[in-house]
Amino acid sequence: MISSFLGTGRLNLALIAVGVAAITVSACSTDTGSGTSSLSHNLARAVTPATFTWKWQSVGDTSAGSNTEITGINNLTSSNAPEIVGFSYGSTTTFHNSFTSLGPHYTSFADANFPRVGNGSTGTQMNAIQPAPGSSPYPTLAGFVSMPADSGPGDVYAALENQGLWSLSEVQGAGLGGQGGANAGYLYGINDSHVSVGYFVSKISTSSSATTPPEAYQVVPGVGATNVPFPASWKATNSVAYGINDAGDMAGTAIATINSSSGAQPVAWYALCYTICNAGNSTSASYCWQTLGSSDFGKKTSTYVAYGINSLRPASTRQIVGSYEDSSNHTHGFLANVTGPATSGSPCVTETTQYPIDAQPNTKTTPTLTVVRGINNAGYIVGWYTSGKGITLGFVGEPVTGATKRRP
Amino acid sequence: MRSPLHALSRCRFAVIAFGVGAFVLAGCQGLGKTFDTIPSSLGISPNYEPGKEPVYSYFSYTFKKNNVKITGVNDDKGGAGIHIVGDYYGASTKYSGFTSAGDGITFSSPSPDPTNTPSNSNIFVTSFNDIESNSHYFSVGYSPPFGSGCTTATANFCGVLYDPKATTGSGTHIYEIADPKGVGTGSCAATYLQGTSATGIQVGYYTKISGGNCVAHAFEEYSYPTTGANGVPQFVEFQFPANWVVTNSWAYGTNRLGQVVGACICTSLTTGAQQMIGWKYDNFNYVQIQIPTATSTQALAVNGNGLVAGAYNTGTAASHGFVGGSGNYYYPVDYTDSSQKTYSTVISGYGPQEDIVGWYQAGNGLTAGFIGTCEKTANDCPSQLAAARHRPGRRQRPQTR
Repeated sequence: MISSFLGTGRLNLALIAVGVAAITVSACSTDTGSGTSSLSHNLARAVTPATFTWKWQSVGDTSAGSNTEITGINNLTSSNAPEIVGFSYGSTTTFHNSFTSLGPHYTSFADANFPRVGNGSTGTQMNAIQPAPGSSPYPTLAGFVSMPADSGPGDVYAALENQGLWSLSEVQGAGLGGQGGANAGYLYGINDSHVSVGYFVSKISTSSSATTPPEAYQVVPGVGATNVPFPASWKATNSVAYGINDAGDMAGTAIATINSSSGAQPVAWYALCYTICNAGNSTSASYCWQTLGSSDFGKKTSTYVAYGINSLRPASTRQIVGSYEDSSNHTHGFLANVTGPATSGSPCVTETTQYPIDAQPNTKTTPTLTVVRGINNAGYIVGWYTSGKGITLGFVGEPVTGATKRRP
Repeated sequence: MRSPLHALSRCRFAVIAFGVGAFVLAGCQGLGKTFDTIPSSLGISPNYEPGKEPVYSYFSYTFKKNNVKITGVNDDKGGAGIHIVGDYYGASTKYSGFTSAGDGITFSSPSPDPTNTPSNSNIFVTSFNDIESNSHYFSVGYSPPFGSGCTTATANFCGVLYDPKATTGSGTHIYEIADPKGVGTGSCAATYLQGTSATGIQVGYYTKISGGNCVAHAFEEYSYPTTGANGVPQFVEFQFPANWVVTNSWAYGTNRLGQVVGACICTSLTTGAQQMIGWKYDNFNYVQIQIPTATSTQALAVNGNGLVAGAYNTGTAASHGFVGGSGNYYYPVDYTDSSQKTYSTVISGYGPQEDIVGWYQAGNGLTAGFIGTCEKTANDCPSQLAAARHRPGRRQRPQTR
C-alpha cells in the first residue's frame, strides 16, 4: 500500500534517530531499459490503455540503505537531461539521505542533506527541485529536515535550500513552536518563483502530543505561509499540497465534500491558477478546482493521490501524475490530461481517460508498486517502484512517445 | 517626515552581587521612537506609527573590567536559559570573552569563554547557541591564531567556536575555523564568526585583499557540529541581488530558521548611493534595512521571531541603536541613564522576549554593556506596537513604573 496522509505511511514518517554509517558509499544501481506501461493489471473502466511510452531508467543511491525514491524533477534543459532529487534509506531505518543527480545517466549523486546532522539523529528528505540559478552549483530544493535533539526527539522543519543557504521554517500561526516533532512542516513542491507547498500539523496543546490534521499550505518568499484556499463548499480537511508548477497550479489530496450526497471523502485534487498566482495572497488568487479519480473507480477512488503537475502552455495541455490502487490492492501510477480550464470560478476540466503507469526498468519483472511523483514539461516522469527483490528503487521515465505529443 | 524624537525615561538602580566582583545594574526606563520608512527590495511602502514606541528598562552591565561589551544573547529555544556573551578588557590589556546566564534581568557571574583562553590572545565572543535542548550549547567568536586549529598562522583573526562539552579531537573544547576561503596573508587576512543559531548555522565574514583593497565577504557556514553520519561541512558566500552592487558585506546574526542579518556597502535602493546598509536574508529574499536620515545602518541581530536590531549613524560620532517590530516598523533606541541622558549606543543582540543587549559609550570614554527589557504584559515590546496601533482606547503609557 502506498503512503497516504491518512495513514502512518511514508508521508508522515518520523525521521527517527539512528546511528547510521558514513555517507561515503555512493554505489549506483542502474538498470536501464525501455518498454511501455503495463496494461495487465485490473483497471477500472475509466482507465484506458496507455498511449505513452517511456524509456525507463532505474536509479539507486545506496548511501543510506538499499531503498531509493525519486521525488522530484526539474525542467533543466541545458544539459542532456533534467536534474532529479530523491532520497535513500535502509530496510530497518527511517533515516533519509537526500541527493540530487544530473542526467542523462543518473549514476552519480550529490549530497543534499541539511548540513547540521550531528549525533546521527537527523535526516533530510528533499522532495522538489528547481534548476540552480546562474553559476551556482546548488539547485533550489524544498523538503523537510528532522533536526537532531541532543536528548529526546527532534523537530521536523520545512526546509528550503537556495544556492547552499538553508532556511528552515515553522508554520506561522501554529503558535506552539517546533518542539518535540509535534509542530511540523513538510514541503513537497517548489516552483521557479520559489513558492513552495506542503502541509503542516500543529500541536493541540502543550500538555499533549496530539496534533491537528494536516493542512495544505504555501510558503511565499517575502510573504510567509498561507493556507491553500480550497473552495469553501469542499469543507476540506486533512489536506496536503504535493506539487506546484511554475504557473502556480497545485495538486494534492484532501478529505472533501464534493457533493452533499456522498459526504466527505478522500480525494485527489488539482487547481489551475488564473490570477494573482505565486503571490501568496490566498484571498485574491483565483483558481479552478477539480478532483481526480471519479466514482468510476468505486472503492478505490479514495486511494488516488495527485503528486505533480507540469506547466505546459496553454493550461489546457497540462498533465497531472500520481498514484492509485486497483481493486487488487496493487498500486499504479497514473497520468491525467487537463483538457481545458473553463472560466474562473468554474471547475477545471480533465480528460475522462486517465492513463495507468507501471515502471518497467526491467522487462522481466512487473513491479507490484509504482508511484509517479513528478512530471516536467518535457514529459519526463519520476517516482519509485518495488523491484522483484522487494526493495524500492527510483526511476526516471524519459518520454519516447506521447507524453508531450498527445494532442495536436 | 514625522517621528518626534521625544524621549521619556526613568531610571532605577540595583546592585547585584556576583561571585566575582560586583556588578552594578543601573536600570533606566526609556521610550524609543519610530522611523518612517523601511526601504526593501520588495518595495515595501513606508511605514508610519506615530506615537507608539517600545519601552525599555535599562541595566548597565559593568564590573571590574574596562570596555565591557555585550555582543549577543541566545534564543533560548532549547530551554538552556538566557545567556549573554561579550568581551572586556582584561588586566593584561587583552580582550577576554565571557558568558553569563540569567533570566533577562539578573545574570550570574561571567564565566571566561573559552575557559582555557591563552593568556596572550585576545578573544572576542559574539554569539551563543543552545541546540534545541539544554544539554548542548556553544559560543562563537574570533581570535588571533593559537593552538592547532587555526592553521593559517598568517591570518590576523580566525573564527573560533567554543563547545564546553566537546570531548573529542584535541580535547581543548575549541573548534577553530581557520581560513575557510583562503584569506591569504597580510594585514587584511582574517575570518570572523559573528553569529550562530540553535540549528547549527554559523555566519560571519572574511576579509581578503582584492584589487589592492581589503574587502569583506559575508558568509554562512555549517562546519560545526557535523560529527554524525552524513555531516557535510559547507561554506557559502551570500549572493546579493545584482542591483545592490555590493562591494563589501558582513553577516552578523542568524536565528534557528536560517534568517540572517548583516550590513553591506552597496547601492541603496532608496537613495541610489553607495553606502553602509543593513540587510536581512529570509527564504530566498534579500531585504535592505536602511534607517532614514542615517549615513550608515548595520543590522546586527535577528531574534527567533525574525525581528531585527542593530545600529546606525547620522553623520556624527555618536551611533544609535534600533529595533524592529512587527509589520516592518523600526524604532530608534538609545541607552538612557538615570538623568535621562542618552549615550552613543549599539544594539548587538535581540532576545526571545524582545529584550535587547549591547553596549554604550560611557562617560569615561570606555564602553559598558547594557541589557534592555520590555514588558509584554504592558504592551511595551516592539512586536506589540503594530497590533496596539489598531486597538482603540489603548492605555496611556504611564510616565513611571
